[in-house]
Amino acid sequence: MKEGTVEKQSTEAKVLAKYGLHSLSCFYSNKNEPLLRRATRVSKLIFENTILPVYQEKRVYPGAGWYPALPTDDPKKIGMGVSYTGHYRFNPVTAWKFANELDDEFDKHIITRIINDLTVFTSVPCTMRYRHGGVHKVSNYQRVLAEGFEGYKKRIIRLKKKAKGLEQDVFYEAMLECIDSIIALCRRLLGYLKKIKLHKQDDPILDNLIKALEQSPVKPARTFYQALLATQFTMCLTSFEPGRIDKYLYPYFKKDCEEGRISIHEADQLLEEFLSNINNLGGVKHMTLGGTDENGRPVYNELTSLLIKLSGKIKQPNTSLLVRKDMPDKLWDIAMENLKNGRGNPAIINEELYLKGLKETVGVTNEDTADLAFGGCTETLIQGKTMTDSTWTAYNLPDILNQSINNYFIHLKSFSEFYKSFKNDIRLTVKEMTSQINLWQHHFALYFPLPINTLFTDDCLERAIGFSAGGCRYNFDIVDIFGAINVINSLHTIKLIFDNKLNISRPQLLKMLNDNFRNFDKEYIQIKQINKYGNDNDEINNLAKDLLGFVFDEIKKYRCWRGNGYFLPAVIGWTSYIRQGKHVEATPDGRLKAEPLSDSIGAVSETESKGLTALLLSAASIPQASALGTCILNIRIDGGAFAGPDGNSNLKALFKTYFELGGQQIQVNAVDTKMLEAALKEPKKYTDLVVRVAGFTDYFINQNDKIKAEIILRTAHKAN
Amino acid sequence: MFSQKENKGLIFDIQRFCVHDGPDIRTTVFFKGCPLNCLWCHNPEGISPRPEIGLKNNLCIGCGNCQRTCANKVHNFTDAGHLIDRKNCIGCGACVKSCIGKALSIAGKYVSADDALKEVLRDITFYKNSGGGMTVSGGEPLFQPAFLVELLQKAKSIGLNCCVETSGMAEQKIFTEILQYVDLFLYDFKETNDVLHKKYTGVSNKKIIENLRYIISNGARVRLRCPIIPGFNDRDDHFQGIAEIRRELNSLEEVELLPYNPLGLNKYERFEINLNHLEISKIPDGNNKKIWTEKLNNYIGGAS
Repeated sequence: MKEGTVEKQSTEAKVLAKYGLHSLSCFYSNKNEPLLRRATRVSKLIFENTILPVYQEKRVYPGAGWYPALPTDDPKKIGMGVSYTGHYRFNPVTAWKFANELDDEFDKHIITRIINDLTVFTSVPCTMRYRHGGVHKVSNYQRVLAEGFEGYKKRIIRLKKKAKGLEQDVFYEAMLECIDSIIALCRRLLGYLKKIKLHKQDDPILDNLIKALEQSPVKPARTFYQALLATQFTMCLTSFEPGRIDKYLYPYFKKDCEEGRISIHEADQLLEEFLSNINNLGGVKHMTLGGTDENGRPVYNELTSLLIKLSGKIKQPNTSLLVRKDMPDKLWDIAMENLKNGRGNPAIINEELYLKGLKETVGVTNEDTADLAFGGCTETLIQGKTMTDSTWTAYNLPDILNQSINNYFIHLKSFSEFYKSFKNDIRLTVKEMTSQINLWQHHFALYFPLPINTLFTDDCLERAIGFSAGGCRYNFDIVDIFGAINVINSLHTIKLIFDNKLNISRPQLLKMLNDNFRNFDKEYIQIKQINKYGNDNDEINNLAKDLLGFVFDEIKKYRCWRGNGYFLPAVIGWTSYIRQGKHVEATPDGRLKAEPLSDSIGAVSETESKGLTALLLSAASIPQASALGTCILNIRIDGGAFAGPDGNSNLKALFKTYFELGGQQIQVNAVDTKMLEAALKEPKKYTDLVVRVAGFTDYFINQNDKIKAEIILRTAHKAN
Repeated sequence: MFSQKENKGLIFDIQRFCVHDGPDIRTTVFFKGCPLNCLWCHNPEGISPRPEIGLKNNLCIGCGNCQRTCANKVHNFTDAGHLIDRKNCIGCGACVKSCIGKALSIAGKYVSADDALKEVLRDITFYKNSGGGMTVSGGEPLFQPAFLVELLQKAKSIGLNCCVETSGMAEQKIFTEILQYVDLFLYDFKETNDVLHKKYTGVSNKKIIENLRYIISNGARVRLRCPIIPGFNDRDDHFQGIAEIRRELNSLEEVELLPYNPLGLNKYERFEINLNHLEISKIPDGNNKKIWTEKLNNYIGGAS
């Protein structure tokens, strides 16, 4: 066990090392250094000591289940550690227990100070009202393939020579150490494989693997296989989100094909192995296919077809298909076959709307829009060039509305007065929310330097600024709006009450909401029966357009602290739409206390009756172009409805029309209710049933009971 | 003949996103009133030429609003449940509006051609991208000729693709008048044997076959649709009859067999329409359709 390279250790480092806390000890070895420098020392220590993943006669090595870790660190036992990425592993309960049991008063004092440091590092300066999510990122694989890690090293040396001042000098020193230790890790992997080779003479898979890894990722990739391995390796170090894989791997595939090195069948097998690595890892990852390249030309190639087909076989990564007007019918058909057969992938994306929005409203260059990709559920980013907080922010609209109802409902005379007051509340709370998020961003920048992401995301190196401190070319923060549809329906109810169109008075409604509709059976039925969003009703559509347009615009008034970036409004929901409903009392749309909020911009379960075209028209009334963080539309169709000879073309016409009307994204569940109900009863028989949840796909049986019930309740659209 | 109210037509539904009533994505306008009375009708609420009240008993919460609202006192709550005196009901629909549980519905509403078209046009972007449009169905659309002509004329004037789904039971001159507006007829042919046709539908098939020949000779595009009801018309001689028509009228675009669909059964109960003469024990499945289609194709091919 090497104890890092620094010989003169700090007091903290010595104490920590004494108790076997090696990553933290390394992190504290020189307290006078900036945190980024301290983090790269930890990366180096871990890369030098991590146990290498076992070779299992698979071509795509190392498998995605591998996160480098320090074998001697045991955060479960002591609850403290630092990972190679610069993230802290901290369990306060375990850590305090450990500290309190120490006999040595000096050591106890030091450890207590460190626990307090970790508490500061990991605290989130944002109230529960607005806090949420995490970070999604896609590395610049294209650059890794073209330059190789040695190219990165050369670039860092070149930049270091031009460094201005001590701070930049230390930044490049840290980055240099980081890339060096990554290169060393590649060599260790290669050494390990060569050792195995001594015992496995007749293993062509191993021979090819060694041959490929001798070139890439340390040197630029030359073949498709090398490029795929380099992507896999870089993914293991960063995020496991592959981004626009059919775009950046295609040149290698094409060259191999032309030179007779690879067949389409071999590429298919390699990609399947690659994707199943991600699938086996779990979590929420995203692959983005198709779309436009740097020259404005379409990216619809052989890999696109293969990957769309493969995306139908797995739950992860989530797959999005960037649709242009000139997308070939063949790809439409492949995608439609997946969807009709109950595979949640791919989601269908209106690329044009994003390209326009990215260029016109958030300053992405024309060239960079060609790297539009998604992370996680459907969080917008420019691959390899963006830090995107994935819905760090949750804006719970029904929570705001209920407070407005309590404040104004009785005193005001008309709906328009009430609506105005509600909008004022939105204005105030959005401002408060963005201030809190910006404080959080500042905090994150100070305490989470994230060296690996800094290395692999442009332009952190050129700017000598860390990934979390604003070094990336683009910085986005996706603001996820929860319960939007509940609020639209609620406002419609409130308007009818103000206009005396229901036999319900205002005090009565307040009472009903406070009582969670208990003892108001007739009124509750009446409220449930009011026309709701999703049925293409002009009045409700206008309300949706006006309200969400207003919320989007308010959010966009503010800029992010990090890199003067942008808040991108979104309606996603993930699985949090259930949690976000838990603290919200009954709402005037008939939603009961603590029930889930609406997910995506689809209709609330059991409230639509006019069919799919009406739902799409309702959804298109929302000014989606203004919400670049993505408005997800989840629909459930009865696969049989599209089984006939016109099936694909009808489904395609639905998507195309939705996009023409301003729709951004649509994702489909095509499973019949009977099958879902059978899966509820006999989960063992339906272990492979994949469903779209809220922005991501997963196995049906993995969902908790509430989500299962929600999915079953979503109206399945039959054709008439 | 059917009485029309101030140039309005009586319809019982406008259904959007239809993909089985003609090609591509369409909206179907269902006309109310039909000269036929087919035993297997799956839109029984389309038969009577006047508005009717439907009741979903499972949704009725017994609030009594309908009873209080109705001028003719047709709603009664007895030990037997919620009863409707249908003889005295004028179909004004006041009770439907007062119904809290949405248990009551009305089949039949007088609308102007403009209003019907307005609803149809909500999905116009979908028609443009799919090639679809409006389908007029029923009941029997040709049973309300003036309204039908006005609706088709207006739809055509804005370039909408128009299908008409018909039993064929109408005066020839009505066909003459609408031919110019109709892109495709979905034309029903229910029974070859005229005696059985009368038994099953209440009318003779002579006029129906005559009209079919007439519109085809005048250049109409026609898809023949034949409902096949097990135990009624799934007989070889009927398949032979269909095949003969197919061979005679070779410009027919397609002959489609429609296996009996029991989805309309609960409507009989809701509208208290007598169904004691309909006993269909066998519900066809995909396999039946395959066998029938093969049989038909053999008859068509065998003689040609």
